[in-house]
Amino acid sequence: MEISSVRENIKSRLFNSTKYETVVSNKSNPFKQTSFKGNVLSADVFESATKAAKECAPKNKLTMSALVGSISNFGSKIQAGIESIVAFGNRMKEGFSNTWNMLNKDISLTEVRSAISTRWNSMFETTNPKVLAKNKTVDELGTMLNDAIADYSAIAA
Amino acid sequence: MREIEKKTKKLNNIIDALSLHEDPSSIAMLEEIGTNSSIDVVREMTSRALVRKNMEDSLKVVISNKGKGINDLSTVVAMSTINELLSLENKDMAMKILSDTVEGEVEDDVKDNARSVKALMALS
Repeated sequence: MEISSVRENIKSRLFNSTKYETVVSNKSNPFKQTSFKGNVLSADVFESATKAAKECAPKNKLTMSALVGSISNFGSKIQAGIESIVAFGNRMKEGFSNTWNMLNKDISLTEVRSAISTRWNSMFETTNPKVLAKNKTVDELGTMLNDAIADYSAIAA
Repeated sequence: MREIEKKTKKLNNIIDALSLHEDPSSIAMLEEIGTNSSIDVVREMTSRALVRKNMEDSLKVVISNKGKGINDLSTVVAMSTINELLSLENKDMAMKILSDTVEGEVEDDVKDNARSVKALMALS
């Protein structure tokens, strides 16, 4: 081959690259070892943008506009949701604050001890007649009887 | 257990404790609080407890007193007291008090009741 013909060939390749690229893309695959298991894609497997645009009919456009509208509504809904969360947080904070104040104000160690003591005593309080007759005086039993009658009257009434 | 049943059991236990108490003043306590109560259940329990005590003073309360024990206006209270008298193992003291009441200076209604109960006890 002569030098001039080689030059021409190179020139034509440089300035008409597309003419040779298709050939090259169909004939060789530089990523043969890593992609498509050696198979060369010779056809356009992706849908073109024009085809997708054609499929977007006026009916679909209406649906899309509705979708966009609903998305814009989501914003207001999300905002309302956030506001409700903030309100909920404030309520929780207020409730916790009240509880904390109540804990500090209303309950003292003495009252807790008294309540536990009362529960503890009531657990072991017996009304067994023999035990009562042995451990209580007549006056104490009289007081107990009056209290029991009052309790009974309150329920039976 | 329902609340009313709990309260009734507690009442009964306290009255039983007074009937078991060795202190003689327990009779006066039962008479003062129990037999004068406006609640039938309390009067019934107290009358039976006084009979179970089986002492002269306790039996006099339920036999010789008008409006108490066998003379109570409530039929349930009167019949329960009579039933408890009939259930006594040792009826000697009860028979003595009944005889004293029949022969004593008490109202006719009380005498009649004592006579009837005495007859019942003699038959039992």
